[in-house]
Amino acid sequence: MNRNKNIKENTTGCPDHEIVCAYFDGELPKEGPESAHIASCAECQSRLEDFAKMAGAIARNMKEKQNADFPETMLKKVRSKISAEKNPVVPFYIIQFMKAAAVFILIAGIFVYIKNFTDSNSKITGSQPLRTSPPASIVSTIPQKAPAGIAGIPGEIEIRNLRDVSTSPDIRFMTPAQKEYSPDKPAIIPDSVSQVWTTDDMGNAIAKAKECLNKTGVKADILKFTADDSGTLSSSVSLNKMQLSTFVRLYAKDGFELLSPAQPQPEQNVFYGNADDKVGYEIKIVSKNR
Amino acid sequence: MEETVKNDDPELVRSFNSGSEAAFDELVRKYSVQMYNVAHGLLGSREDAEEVVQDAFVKAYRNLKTFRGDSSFSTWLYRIVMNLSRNKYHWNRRRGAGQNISMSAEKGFGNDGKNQDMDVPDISNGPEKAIESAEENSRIMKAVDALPETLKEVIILRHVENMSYEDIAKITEANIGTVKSRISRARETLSERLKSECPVSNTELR
Repeated sequence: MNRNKNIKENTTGCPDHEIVCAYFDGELPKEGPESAHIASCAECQSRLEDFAKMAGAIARNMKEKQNADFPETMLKKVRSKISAEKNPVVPFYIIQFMKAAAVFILIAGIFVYIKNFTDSNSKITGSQPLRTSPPASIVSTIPQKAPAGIAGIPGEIEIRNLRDVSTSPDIRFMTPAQKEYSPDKPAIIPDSVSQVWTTDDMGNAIAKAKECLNKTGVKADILKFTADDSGTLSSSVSLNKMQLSTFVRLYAKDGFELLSPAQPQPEQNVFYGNADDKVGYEIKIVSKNR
Repeated sequence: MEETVKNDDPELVRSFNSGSEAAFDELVRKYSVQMYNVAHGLLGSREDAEEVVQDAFVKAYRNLKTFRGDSSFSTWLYRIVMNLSRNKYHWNRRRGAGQNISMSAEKGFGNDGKNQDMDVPDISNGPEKAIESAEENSRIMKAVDALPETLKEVIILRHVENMSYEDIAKITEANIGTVKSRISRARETLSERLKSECPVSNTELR
């Protein structure tokens, strides 16, 4: 490499500062023209003295005099850090915090358990239905049509560990979203329902039916019942789901017994859909003495 | 660097990677002072320098298995120390502690004029000369401390560790031309600062 290319002479004819530095640091070939100049130039020699002074001061002050055992001390500290990394010691306050958290979780768990247990007991003792719902196997055979707007409801009633009947005496209708958060198992009332009732008081069956329907708001006075050869009374009426479920309750309360498994059942009080949904209802009344 | 004398580092690294913890201990013993000097030069604080060196060795311990040997172990270790020192330096600056822990403040003659822990000045040439010499050292150190980071790094590696331009280039991951230029600029900057700070001493330090 041609060193002459790197000579950048300053105004005094001396090589550039960078080259004098390299000479001072022993990074410039001694036989080159710059080296020859620097070695014989008073100005450059003066600069070299400045460099030497600086270098000496830096080396003296920055190189701390260490004790002979410094490497061993350093080793111990390094080993201690490595060991701490391998076996992290959990600080005391974190242990205390974790203990407190564990106790809190335990207490919360006990509280939730007791609450569930109490709810379960109150269902059995407080609001036990007069009659259980039809078995799930029967219910699932009822022709099901998911109410409009209820997405994701399977064709069969989902059997879950839910209460068959709400602890509330009121008849309620719920949406799928509400069902997600309800402990009750709602029943589906189809768009058309046919139910058979039985009684040993056939003489009052029609009057009572009309009376109960009237109480639900259905104008039943003009309702026509027909009797077949066997004496079975039949009629059809259009009403909404709330009216139907209320009628079924009232009629059962008057001593009529429902033979059909179709919903709504007298003890069932939670249903899917809306109370206003229309239902075609066919009622049949048969004599117990038949 | 020490490799030119006798370099048993590759063997120690191999031993460590084969499971010898003693080999790592040997590397710590061998390089702790050198690494400390560089970190101390860059940070100007004993505590910070010790912490950086400890962390550097811990990092080396963790990553030595992935050390491919493209450079020498010492170069690799120097780089770790430099990087950690830079991080520490910037951290200190962000905290506003940089000035308080600077080399010039910690060591030698601080603002209170007391000699804290600097080597006892040589008074063989008379007390006045010794004081002058100590004051000049202090001025030089302050000027070094005020250098830009890249210039400070090369000047410390050159004068504290007595490294060649080639080694400095490896450690700072710059080319030799850049190192040469940085060293030159560092010296030029130091000269200018010292001249402007103390024009009286210009006759001594141009």
